[in-house]
Amino acid sequence: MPRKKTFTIEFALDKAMELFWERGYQSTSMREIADHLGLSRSSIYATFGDKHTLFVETLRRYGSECRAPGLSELANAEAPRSALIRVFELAIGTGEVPKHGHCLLINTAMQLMSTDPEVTQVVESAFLDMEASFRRAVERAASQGEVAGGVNTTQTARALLSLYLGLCVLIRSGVRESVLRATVDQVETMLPAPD
Amino acid sequence: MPRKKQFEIDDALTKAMREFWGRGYHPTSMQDLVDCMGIGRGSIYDTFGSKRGLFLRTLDHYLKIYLATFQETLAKSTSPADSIMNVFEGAIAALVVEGSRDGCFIINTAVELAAHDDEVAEVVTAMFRQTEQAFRALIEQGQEEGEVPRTVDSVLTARSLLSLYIGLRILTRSNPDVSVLQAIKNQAGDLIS
Repeated sequence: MPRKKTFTIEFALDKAMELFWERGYQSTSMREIADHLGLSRSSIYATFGDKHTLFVETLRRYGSECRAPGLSELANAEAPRSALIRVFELAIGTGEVPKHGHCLLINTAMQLMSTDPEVTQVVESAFLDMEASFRRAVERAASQGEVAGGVNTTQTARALLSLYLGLCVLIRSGVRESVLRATVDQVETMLPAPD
Repeated sequence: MPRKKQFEIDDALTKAMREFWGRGYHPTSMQDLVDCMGIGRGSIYDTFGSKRGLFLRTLDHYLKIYLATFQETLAKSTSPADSIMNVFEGAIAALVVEGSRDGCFIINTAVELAAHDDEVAEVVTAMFRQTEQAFRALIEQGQEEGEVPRTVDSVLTARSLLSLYIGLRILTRSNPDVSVLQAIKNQAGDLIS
């Protein structure tokens, strides 16, 4: 009889994600992941193959499940303009934000993207998804009259993506909050309420 | 001979910088550095103290190159606003013309180390502050020359340009459509017009 599985895939991916997030891909060993999960290395290898496969799986899960705080609420928000601003507000947070940074995708992008096509593809499609979420929210805000007409939705969505990524790096670097606030102010300015 | 030695150190630093830039700090081993710098482990320790000491020197080395490139960009620009546009264009050209997806060494370092290493965080934030101040000076100069409207808040806009610029450099590390990058540059232009 096969031994009963004592962990779920999702649980394992979430725990592995914590480590990759904190330390990056190269600096995290399979032994550390096994210890962190309280499992043997062999059961992790049996389930996920190797470290790279496990990493790509965590990245996919991060892309589909977690994302940035506030981003998943964008699609259904009644007031999309406020929801967009909230995504940036949440990134800055209230000070108790974990210092290891917000975005696994960005951390990974930085470490692996020049050399790893599979990772590049996952990250790139996540960036495209983010851009599309921003664009749909801007379009809805415009059609609901929450944002003045005539806003260039494609350019605005792309700029929001870039501002968001830039903001994540600035947060991680520990720059003053007044500098971070400027980005949020900018987002509000880019989404002008009608007169 | 002292002069020759300085040249050799700069050359070795450039090689080490490329290695750290491409791979990150932690994944680069002492052996990688020995291989790429073409000097012995003992000489590296004698000259730079440690891997971390060498890394901090390469950051400093990058800063000099970065500032020189920035000055070159300003020198070939026709106006303050044009300078800001050319800074963004330069980031796009690194990918499109040179095919480089290495991004910016400082930004890569910020992501890898700044949260864990206060000394590195200080170097990185100082660098960001310098970039912010350069944007601010250009905006104010543009306002003096009547090119940038007085209604543009130079402090807030310089900070927004910094976020936008860092985001752009990150995006160039993935494999984005050029139109995405151009839209970000256009947005930078809208902020100062």
